[in-house]
Amino acid sequence: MDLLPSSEHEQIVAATADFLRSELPLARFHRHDRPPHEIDAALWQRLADQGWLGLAIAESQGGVGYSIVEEALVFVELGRLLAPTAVLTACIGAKAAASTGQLSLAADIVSGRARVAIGLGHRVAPEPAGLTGDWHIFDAAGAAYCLLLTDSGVLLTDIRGTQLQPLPCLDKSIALGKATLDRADVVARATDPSVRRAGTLLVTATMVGMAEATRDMIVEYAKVRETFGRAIGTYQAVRHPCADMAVRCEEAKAQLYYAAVSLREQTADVELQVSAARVLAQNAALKNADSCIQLHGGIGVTDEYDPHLFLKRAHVLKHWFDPAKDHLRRILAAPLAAI
Amino acid sequence: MDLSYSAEDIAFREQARTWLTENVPREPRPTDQFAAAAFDREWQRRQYEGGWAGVNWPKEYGGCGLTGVRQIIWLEECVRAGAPPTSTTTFFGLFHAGPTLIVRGSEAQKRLHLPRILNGESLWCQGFSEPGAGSDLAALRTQGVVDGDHLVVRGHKTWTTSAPTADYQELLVRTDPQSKRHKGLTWVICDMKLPGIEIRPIKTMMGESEVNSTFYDDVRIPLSNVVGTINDGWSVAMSTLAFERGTAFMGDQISLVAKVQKLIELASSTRAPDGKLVIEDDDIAYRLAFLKAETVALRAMTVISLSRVERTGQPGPEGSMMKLLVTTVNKLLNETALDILGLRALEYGEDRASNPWTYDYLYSWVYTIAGGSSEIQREIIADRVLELPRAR
Repeated sequence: MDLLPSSEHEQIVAATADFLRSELPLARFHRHDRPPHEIDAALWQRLADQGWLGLAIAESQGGVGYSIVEEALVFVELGRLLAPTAVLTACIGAKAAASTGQLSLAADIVSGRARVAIGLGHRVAPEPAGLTGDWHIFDAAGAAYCLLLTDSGVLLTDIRGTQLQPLPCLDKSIALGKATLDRADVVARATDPSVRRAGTLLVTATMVGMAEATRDMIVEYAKVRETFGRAIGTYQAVRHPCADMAVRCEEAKAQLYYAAVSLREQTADVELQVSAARVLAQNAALKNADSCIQLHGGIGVTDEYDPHLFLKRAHVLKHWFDPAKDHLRRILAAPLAAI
Repeated sequence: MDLSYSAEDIAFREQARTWLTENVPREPRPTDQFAAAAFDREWQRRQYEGGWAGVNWPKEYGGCGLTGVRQIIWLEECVRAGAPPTSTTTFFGLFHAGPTLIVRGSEAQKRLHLPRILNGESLWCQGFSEPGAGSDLAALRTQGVVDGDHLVVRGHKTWTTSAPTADYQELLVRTDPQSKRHKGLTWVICDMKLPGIEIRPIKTMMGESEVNSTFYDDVRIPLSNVVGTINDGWSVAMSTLAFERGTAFMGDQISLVAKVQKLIELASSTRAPDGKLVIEDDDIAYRLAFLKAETVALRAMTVISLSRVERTGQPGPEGSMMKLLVTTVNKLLNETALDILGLRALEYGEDRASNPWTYDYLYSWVYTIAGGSSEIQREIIADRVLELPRAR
C-alpha cells in the first residue's frame, strides 16, 4: 500500500505542466484577437498529439495506454491552467465508444478528427421514451458528437445535423449552445458504470488542479503585496484563510488519489470513493476561488486578473457528471468498505 | 500508487482481529476517574501481555514496531472490536513521554520507564502549559533551580489532564532565570508523589474535572531525572510535539469513519416532532453525507502520510493540516448529532454517562484547542507549508 505518485508519475506530471506553460498559458484568456472559446484546428491537433484525448485508451486503439490513475494526474495539471474542457469530453467520448466496441469512432475522437460536446439539463428517461426538451450543449463549437448522462451510463449522440442556438457562457472559454436532440442519433450506449465514473473522476481531478492554482496564486501575491508597510502574508487575516485553502487542497487531492486507484482496481467501495472525491474537490475549487478573489482585494474583481476565471470554470464544472446533491445521496447510501 | 494489502498484512489483520475479539473488555469504562484509571491500567496490561502494547514503538523498546499500513490495520480492528480508545490516562505515556524518552532519554531512564508505560504500571501526565503560557509555550515561568544533585521546582502549571491518577509527569521548567523564550528551559521527569505538589481540579463546561491546576512548592526532583541536558528542554519538548502532530491523531481519524456511520444510523432511527425520520430532512442528510466524505478523505490522508513516512523516514508538514481537519470535522459531526437528537440533546447531567452525544459535542472544543489550537495550526501551515512571510 502506497498512495503517493511514483517517479514515473512525477515525470508525466512534469511533462504535462511544461507543455501547458508554453502552449496554453493563462495569458491566453486576456487576448482579444479571437473569441476565447475558439480552439483552432492546429491547437487541437497539438493536444491530440500529446495523447491527451485518449490517455486511458489502449495503445492498440490509438490511445496512450495509461490507466485512469495517470489520466487523473494529467487532469490535475490541465485544471491548474484551465485547459480546454473539450479534452475531458473527448476522453470520455472515446471511452464510451471503445467500451461499446466502436473502435473507429473511438479512434476518430482520440486522433482529434471528431470533437465531443456534453449535453446537460435533463435526466435521460429510460428507453424507449427518448430525449425530450431543450439541452444545454457545452463545448458545442465544431463538435460532431455529444455526451449525455443516463442513470447508469453514458450515451454518445451524433449532433452533426442538429441545429444549435448559440448562447453566451459564464465561462467565456466554453462554447455553449441550446438544442433539441433526437434519440435516433444515439451512436453509443456505454452502460459500463466505470465510463461514467471516469467522467466524474476527471471533473474531480480538474477541480483539484483549480483549487491548487488559486491557492498558489494568492500565496505568491501575499508574499509581495504590501499594506500598512508590510507584506499581507504576515497578517493572520490573510494567513489563516490561506491555510484553510491548503487544507482543502490536501484533503481533496488525497481523496482523488484514493478514488483513482479504487476506480482502476474496481474496488467494492468505488462509488463511495469517487463521489466523496468529487464533493470535496468541488468544495475546494469553489471556496478557494472565493478566497483567492477576496484576498486579492480590488484587483481580485477585475477582468485582467485570473481568479475570476477559476470561479467561473468551477461553476460550469459543478454541473458536469451530476450535481453535488446526487453524489451526496450516493455517499449517504454507500456502505463502508468491508474491512 | 497501490492500495492492495500484502498477504502478510492480511494475516496480520486476522491475527489482530482474533486477539481483540478474545481480549477486549466486556464491561464499559467506569465514569469515576480513579476507577477509570484502574480500568485503563488493566486494559494496557492485557495488551502488553498479549504482545500488542506500543504498536508504533520500536521493538527494541518493547513495542510492536508496526510501521505504515499495519498501524492503520491495528487501529481499524480496535474500532471494529469496540476496544477502549486510547484514554487521557495512557495517552501521555504512550504518545508523549515514552516517544520522547526513546529519542532523548538516558539508558537508565529508558530501562526504568519504558516497560512500565507499556505494561500500564506507570500513567503519565503533562506539565507544559501555564496560566501565562498556552499557545505561547516559550513564555513559561515555572522555575527550576539546581541545588546539589536536585532540581528545586517552584511555580504553577495548568490544564494538567488526569493529574490525580498519574504516576509521572513530563515537566518543562525555566532553569536559567536570565533566559528569554525557548532558551534556558529543561525537560524533567517529575514523580507526582513528591512532597510539595498540590493538585486542584478545574471544572470544565462538560461538568467534570478531567483537567487540573498543579502547584509546585519547592519540589525536589533528582537531577538524574533531567532528559537531555539542563537548558536544552525546548528541543526535547519539540521532539514530543512533532510526534503528536505526526501520528497521535491517527486513532481519532480512523474512529471518525465509524462515528459518522453511527450518526447516520441515529438519524435513520430518530423521529422529528413532525413524525418524519430525521434522515429525511435534506439539510441533515447532506451534512451527514459531506462529513462522511470528509472522514473517508481523512483515511486517504492517513494512507498518504504513512506512504511518505515509508519513503522518507519522517512525516511531512501535513501533521498540522491533519490535526486542524480532524478536530474541525469532529466538531461538525458532534454539532450534527445535536441537531439530530433535538430536545433529547438537552437531557444532560454534567457527565458523559448522562448523554454521550452532548458530552462529545461539548468536548469538541477540547480537541480544537488542546495540543496546539486550530489558530496555531493555521500559523504552522502558513509558515511551513505555504512559506508565507512572518510578522514575528
